[in-house]
Amino acid sequence: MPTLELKNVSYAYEKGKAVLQNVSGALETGKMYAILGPSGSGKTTLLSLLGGLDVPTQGGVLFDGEDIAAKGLEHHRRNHISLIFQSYNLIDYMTPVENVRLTAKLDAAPILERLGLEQDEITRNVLKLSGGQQQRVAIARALASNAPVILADEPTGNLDADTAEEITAILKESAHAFGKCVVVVTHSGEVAKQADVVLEIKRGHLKEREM
Amino acid sequence: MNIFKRAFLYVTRKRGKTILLFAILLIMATLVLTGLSIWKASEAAQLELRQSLGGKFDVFVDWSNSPYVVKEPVKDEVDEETGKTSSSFLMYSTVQFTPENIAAIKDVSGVKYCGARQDNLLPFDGLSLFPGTISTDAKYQGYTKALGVCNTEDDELFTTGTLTLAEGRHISTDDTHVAIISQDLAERNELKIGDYLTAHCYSMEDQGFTGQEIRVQIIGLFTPHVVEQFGETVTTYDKIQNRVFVDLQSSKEFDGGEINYGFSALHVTIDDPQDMARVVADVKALPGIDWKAFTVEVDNETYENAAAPLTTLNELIMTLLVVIIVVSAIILALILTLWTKTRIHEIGVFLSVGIRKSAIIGQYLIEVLLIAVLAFGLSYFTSNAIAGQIGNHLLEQSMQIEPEDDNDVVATAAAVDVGADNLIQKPLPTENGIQVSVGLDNLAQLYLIGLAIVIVAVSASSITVMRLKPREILSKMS
Repeated sequence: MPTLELKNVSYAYEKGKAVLQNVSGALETGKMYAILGPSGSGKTTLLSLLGGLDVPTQGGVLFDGEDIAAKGLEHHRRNHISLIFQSYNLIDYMTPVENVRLTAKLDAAPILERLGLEQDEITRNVLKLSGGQQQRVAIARALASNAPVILADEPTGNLDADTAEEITAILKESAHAFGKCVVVVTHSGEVAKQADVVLEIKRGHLKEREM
Repeated sequence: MNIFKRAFLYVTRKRGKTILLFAILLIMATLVLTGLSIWKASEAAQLELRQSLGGKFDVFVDWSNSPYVVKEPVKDEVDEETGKTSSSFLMYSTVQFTPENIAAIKDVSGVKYCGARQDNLLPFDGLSLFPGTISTDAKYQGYTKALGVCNTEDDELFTTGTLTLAEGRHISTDDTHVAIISQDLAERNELKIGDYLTAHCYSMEDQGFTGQEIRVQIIGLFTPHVVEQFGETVTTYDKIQNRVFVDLQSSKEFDGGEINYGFSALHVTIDDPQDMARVVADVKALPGIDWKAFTVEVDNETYENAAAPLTTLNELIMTLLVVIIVVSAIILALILTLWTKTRIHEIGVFLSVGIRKSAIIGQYLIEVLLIAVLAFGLSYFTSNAIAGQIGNHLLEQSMQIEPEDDNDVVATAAAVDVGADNLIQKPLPTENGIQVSVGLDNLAQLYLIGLAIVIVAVSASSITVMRLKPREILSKMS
C-alpha cells in the first residue's frame, strides 16, 4: 500500500485558474521522489497539499489509505510528515539540539552528530552555523520527528554545489537507510538525478519522467 | 518540547525584548498599584471619617401636619410694667415618644445613640446660680434648665465625655425625684449628695406656679469637660454649671404631669452616615410609633462637607485607574502585535511541525506572564515609594477643609449639636494621619488586573496572525 496517495486532486487559487488538475499518484516509503517543473507550475502547492498545509479544491490526499482530513490536518502534520524548507526555517532563539527537540520523538544529539555536526556546534545558537549546517539541522529535525514522510521544498536552493550534493545524499540516505518517503521539490537536475522516481508537473498534470 | 520550555527559552534568549517588556509592565504595574493603594487609603480615610463623625437625625412632633396636635387657649397674661394683656395658646401633641420607643430605636442596627430630654425652665428655691453674660427678662432671672431624662448614663453629654460624673451615681430609669447637678453649683450652694432641691409645679393652663412643692434629692455631681470661655455669650439658664438633670417623673410633675407625659423630640446618632437612609427607614418601620405625629429631620451635612473632597479624590483615582488599565492594555496589545508580526516565521515553523495555534498563543501568554510576575513583584517596592509620597500629599490636600463660617466643619474638630448645646467635640481623622502604603491585598488585586490585561493584550495581538492559514504564513515566510 502506498504511504501517500493523491486521488484526483485539483487546486485553484481563483475560480477558473487551476494550478493542479485531476492529479493522481502514489508515493511509497523507502524511496526518494523528485518533483520537477517550471516556476509557477504548482510544485510547492502540491507539496503543501501533501503536507496538510492546504486543502485541495477537489479530490483528496490519503495517508495509509485514509483521507488526511479525517483526523485533521494538524494531526497529519504532527504525526505523518516533516517539512524541510529552502530557507531552513529554524527557530532563531534555540540551539540546533533545541530545534531538533521541538518535534523530537528520537534522541536529537546522535542524529545531529550522524549528520556531521560537532558536539560544540549543536549547542551554539543556530544562526551561528553555516547554511549547510543549518540545513543539516533541519533534516535532523525531520528525522528526529520519526515521521514516515519527509517533504522538502528546494532544500539545496541556498547551498553551494558541494554542500548541495552532501544534503541530497543525506536525503537519499534518509529514504533508503531510515525507510522514509522523501519528496523533494527542486529545480536542480543534480538533485533529480539522485531521486529514485522523478515526477514532473506540466500544465497542471503530474507525470513520471524517465531519467 | 513543551510550551513552558519554549516560552522560557524565548524570554531568556531574547533579552532586549524581555527587558523592554519588563520595563513596560513595571511602569504599568507601578501606576496601577499606586492607584490601588491610594484608593484603598482614601476608602479607609472615608471610613474613619464616617465612624468619627457619625450621622444624626432628629425626630420631633410634626407641629404643622400632625392630627394629634392640640391648640388650647390659656389664661391671658398681663404685663406687670405696661399693664397690657396678651392672649396665649397652649400647643401640645397627644402622641409623644415613650421610654419604650427610645429603647426600641436604640436597638435598631447602626444606631449609636438615641436620647430625649424634657426641657423645663424653672427656679429652684434658694439656689444661687452662676450668672450668664447675657441679661434675660427679669421674669427668668433665677431660672435654670431642668433636663428630664430616662437615665443620665446613656445621655450623649455623658457618653461623649462632655460631662463626667464626678461623685455619686447616675439617674436610672426606675428613679423618681432625684437630680444630678454640677460640682461647681454644689460648692457654690454648699450642697452635697443626699441634699434636696425644691421646685414648684407650674400650671400650663393657668400660666403660673400652683404652689405644689416637688423635692428632688441630689444623687450625683458632674464636672463639665468644657465650660464657656471668657467673652462667650450665654444666658444664666444655659450655663452648663447651672444645669440640673432630673428623672422623667419629676420633669412631668414640674409641668403638671398631664400634658407632657413623654418626649416631643428625639435625637439619634448613627455609626455610619452612609447608612442614614437605611437606619431612618428601619426606625420608621418600628411598631408602636404613630408616624402621623412625627417628622424626621436628617442632618448629614457635617459628614457630607467633610467627606466631599475624599469622595472626589476617590472618584478621580478610580477614573485614573480605569484609564491606566485601558491604556496599558492598548499599549501592550500594540507592542505585542508588532512583535507577533516579526514572529511570523516562527509561527510558520511551529504550524508546519504540527504545533496547534492555541499552543502558540499559550506560549506567548506564558512568556508575558513570566516577565509580568517579576515586574509585578518589583512594582511592590517602586509603588510603595511613590504611593507614600504622592498618596499622602493627595490625601492631606483633600482633607484640608477651609471653614466657610463659624458653624462649618473645620479641619481639626467638628461640633455636634445637642439641642441647644454646642459642647460635644469630636476630632477629625486627620489628626491620626492616613498612611498610604501598598498592601498584599493590593498586590493580589494587581496580579488579577494584570492577568486580565495580559490575556486581553495577547489575545488581541494574536488575532491577525492566527486567522491566517498555515499555507499563507509559509508564503509570507518565503
